[in-house]
Amino acid sequence: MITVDEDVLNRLADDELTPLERESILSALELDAKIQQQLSKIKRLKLNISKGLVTETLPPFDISRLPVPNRSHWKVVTFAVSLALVIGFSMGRYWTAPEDTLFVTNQAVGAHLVYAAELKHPVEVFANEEAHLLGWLSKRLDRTVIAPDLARFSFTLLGGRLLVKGDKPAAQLMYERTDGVRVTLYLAQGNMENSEFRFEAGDQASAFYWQDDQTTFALIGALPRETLLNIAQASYDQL
Amino acid sequence: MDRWQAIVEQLPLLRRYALSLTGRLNDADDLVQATAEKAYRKFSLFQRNRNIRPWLFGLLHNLYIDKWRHEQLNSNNEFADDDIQMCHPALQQDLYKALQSLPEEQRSVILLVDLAGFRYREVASILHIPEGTVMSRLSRARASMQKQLSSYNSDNIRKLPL
Repeated sequence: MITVDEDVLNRLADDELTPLERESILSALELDAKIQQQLSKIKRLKLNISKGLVTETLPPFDISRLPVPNRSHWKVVTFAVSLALVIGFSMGRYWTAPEDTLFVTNQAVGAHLVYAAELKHPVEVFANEEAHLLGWLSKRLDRTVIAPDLARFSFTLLGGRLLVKGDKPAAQLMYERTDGVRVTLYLAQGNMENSEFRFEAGDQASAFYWQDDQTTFALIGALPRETLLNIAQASYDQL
Repeated sequence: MDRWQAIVEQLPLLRRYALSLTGRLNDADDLVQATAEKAYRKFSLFQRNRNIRPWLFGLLHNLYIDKWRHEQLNSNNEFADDDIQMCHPALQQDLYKALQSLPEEQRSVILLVDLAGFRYREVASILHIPEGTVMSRLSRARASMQKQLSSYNSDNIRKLPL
């Protein structure tokens, strides 16, 4: 049995232990609530640093500063466009997606991560005032906003809030399952080219998004792709 | 893969790292620019079978040591509050402030592990230090961050997966 000290906990959180060490420490962990607590503190700090220190709201990196090597003009342009896309969104995983789409998923997932984490104020208006909530959002978004019934997935409506998309209103409806897992449905006026369901995997939460008439929708949650797709389809059918 | 593209794809992460390291947007962008230039010039020295990320972060780190840290020590060592406020909502500013209070050698280690997602051995090669030193600096950095962020880790943030 290895001694469970700070170093070992760090290595466990960073996935740096050998399988043997890991097995040994996990059995020690089960017995000790204090060590478990320390481990979850480390994990939370890791998460805060990885998701907290983002540059998405920064003014974009000035690409003219970069030494563009000798290339034909069109290549420079292509390079500049892809660079702008990559710089705007961290990690470059949105590389080829059209800009409006980037904006939507980025916003929708961001709003999910920020608000689904809230204990006291997850929503602006709770579901006990559902009629008021939907009336208000419909008015602001200038379309009928319906809260789809997701009971067959064991999700109930928790409430919703108004969000901002550029200088336009957007909305978020939040659902909660009995085990505390939350999904959010994001709606905004928008005009994405493509109306089909698209999937965007993320580190902390994934999203399905689609376009319907003049509204862009996204369903976000930390759930397996299949489950998310089923919920997204059920929402689409009702909206 | 095209060498430029390979470099360019890493720029957003390099920029996040540089900003967290220096705390100044101008310094961070200068650092990223210098790294991109150097990487392009030295690309022929880069071995194809190696992972490009540790190599780029190593270049950035060397530039930082050579120039920025020297200059920063000679001017004031404070993070630029304006930059931080512009980039980050209130919750994240606490995180920046806690990072700022760390000695630079600990800050780079915790950022490389938690922000850039490197393995310990990669961090060791980027910073030219033994793996054991990576671990001890990381340990100290995390303990100190936790102490400072204890008010931030309030009960208002749920611990469930999002």
